Amino acid sequence: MPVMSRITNVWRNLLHRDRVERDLDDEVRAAFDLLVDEKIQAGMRSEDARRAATLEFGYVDSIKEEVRDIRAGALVETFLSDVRYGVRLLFRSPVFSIFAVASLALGIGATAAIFTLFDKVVLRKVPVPEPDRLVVGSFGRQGTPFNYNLLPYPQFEQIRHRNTTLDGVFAMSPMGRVTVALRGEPDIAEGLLVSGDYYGTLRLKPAVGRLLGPPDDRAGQAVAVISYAYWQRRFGGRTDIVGDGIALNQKPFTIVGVEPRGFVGIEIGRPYDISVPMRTFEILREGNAPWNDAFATWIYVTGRLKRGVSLERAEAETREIFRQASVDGARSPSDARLAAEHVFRLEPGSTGTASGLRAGYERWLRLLLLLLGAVLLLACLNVATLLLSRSDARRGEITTRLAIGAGRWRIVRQFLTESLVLAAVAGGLGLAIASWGSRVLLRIAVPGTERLPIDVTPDLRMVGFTAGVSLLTCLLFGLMPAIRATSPRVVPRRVASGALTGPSCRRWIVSSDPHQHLGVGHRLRQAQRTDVLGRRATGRTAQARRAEHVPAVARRTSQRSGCAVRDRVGRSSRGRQYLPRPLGQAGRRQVAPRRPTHSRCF
Amino acid sequence: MPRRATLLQGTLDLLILKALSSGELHGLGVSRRVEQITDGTFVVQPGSLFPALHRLEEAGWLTSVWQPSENNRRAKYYALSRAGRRQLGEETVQWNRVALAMARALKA
Repeated sequence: MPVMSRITNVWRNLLHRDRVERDLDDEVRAAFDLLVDEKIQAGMRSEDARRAATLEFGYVDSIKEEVRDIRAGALVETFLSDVRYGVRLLFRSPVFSIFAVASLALGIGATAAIFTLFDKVVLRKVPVPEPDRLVVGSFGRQGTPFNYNLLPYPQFEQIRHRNTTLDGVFAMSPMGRVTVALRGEPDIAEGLLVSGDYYGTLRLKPAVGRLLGPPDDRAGQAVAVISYAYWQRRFGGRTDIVGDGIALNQKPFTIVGVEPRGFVGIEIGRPYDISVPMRTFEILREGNAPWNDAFATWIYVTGRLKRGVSLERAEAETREIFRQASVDGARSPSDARLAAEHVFRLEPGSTGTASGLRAGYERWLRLLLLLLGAVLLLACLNVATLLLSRSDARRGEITTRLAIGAGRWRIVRQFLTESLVLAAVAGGLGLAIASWGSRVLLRIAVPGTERLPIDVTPDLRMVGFTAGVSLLTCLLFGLMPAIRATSPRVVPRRVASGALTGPSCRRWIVSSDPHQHLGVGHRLRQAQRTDVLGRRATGRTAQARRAEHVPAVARRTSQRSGCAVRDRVGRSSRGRQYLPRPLGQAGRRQVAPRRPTHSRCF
Repeated sequence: MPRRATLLQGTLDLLILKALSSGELHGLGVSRRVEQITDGTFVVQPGSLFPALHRLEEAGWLTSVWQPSENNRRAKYYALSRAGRRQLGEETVQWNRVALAMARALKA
């Protein structure tokens, strides 16, 4: 069947469920009534005609159930009704639900909180095109792994001019706080000095206006670019910001553009508000920058590898340039010695430059993540125990359903869906805990700042992670109890055939939840009002009535649950085998209980 | 006494398509017709028939329309669609091929 028509069928069956159900009912009943009418015309009394027709035709309800089972969207239908039942179960045992949901939610929430921090600080790549080609420069003493992340300017200049392996290289230097005055209103902001190729190498496009380029840096223009977050926060995101004059450290600058949304710099944990060309150093600060001192370290150097160039090749080239520039810039024998002892290193920079936040917290975050994973596992085991004890209480229901023909995997599927509901509720709560918790943790870790160093509002990754973890916990705590509860050896022997009549059985069937987990629902209530042949309950003894109910219930339930009992006349739920019923013998055979060996259900 | 024989699902589909090839029928009518054209060998119970009819309709091989039946009740009448007629032809060819092969095998 083509996919499109199947989808339309599923859609129709689910959306117009009432109409589809009504049509089905009309259709099957019409056929049944036709049969009855024929028999009446052949001379039977109406009661006998109905009885004979029932024996020949079958039960309207079970036939409808067969149709429902194969209808497009049957899986979805059963899933939805399982979900509804799961929700009702949660409300029915509030103490259990609260404990289970609380343990899971705390476990999931705490894990997600730490994961968000871990992700943002350690894992997340810089939001620029092709971040894997970014490389970060550092230098260190030959033979030791220790790196200095700040570099001298002349070497950078040489690298910039003479390299052939990089597709752009830039320098940056955080300025710290600058005073910003816009139309007289003063403010403090974080500033960043960048060389001309900063935005070009990162391949960023402005949200508004333009970004800084090499000409600005060469001439030392008093222009500035503001970050997106600062633009929203301080300037209300107004689009006429371009061209506005602001005073940085009381010196006049012009805003030429806004960075794109989502970009917060390439040093994790140190977001900035305003970037200015490097050559404006002298305008903003007293004194000169050490432009020509080959041994004063103050800038970060980052570059982008050319396509197809390996990191090793670029490192070899830049290392040589660096060495040469250091040697050329040496002014004393100790300088020369330093130049000889230290080497330039190039490292992958997809997660940005060396970050103090990352260096300080990466190991702790990993440890915490592991610990919380263990805590979550404990919570799952906890809930699994609770579920096991609950399924023990439902053993009567389970054994009955298994005995009269329910597929084991159908019941397991239902239990899993109930667990899914639990996990979903816990997951939702966990998400709330995670977004609050990650903020709190950040405050504790980095106290004293009014703005958080990283943005931890819930994003798609956090939601995805929480959902994934919830699903995993659902499987962890739900699968085992479900399988164990329906395992055949747990089913007590006495439930086979003969014990299906009698008051004790009736207690099971009637007193457990009348809805779908037995599959009888309103059909059971119907059965209570009318006996199997559709007659109103007469003055027969209660015992006799009960004895008649149960097989009818059993038959309907088994047909609904779709057990593929071969010797039962009719069809198997899997639809492979069709045994035409010999006319006239059907009724008796149907009522006889099935021996376990014939059926696939045990 | 009608002989008991088992039917595979595909065979039932083919029988239903064939039964409807000569005209539209409602559910019970299809069952009667199948019994008739197989000379009583196959009696399709409603528990198998109605799911099969719905399945075939969802597959697009049958169309249905509500009409008053013999006793003036509203009943759902099924008919072959164009695709269904094509399907009937294909499946008949396939079945004949299989039957021929089986006959040959059993004769050998």
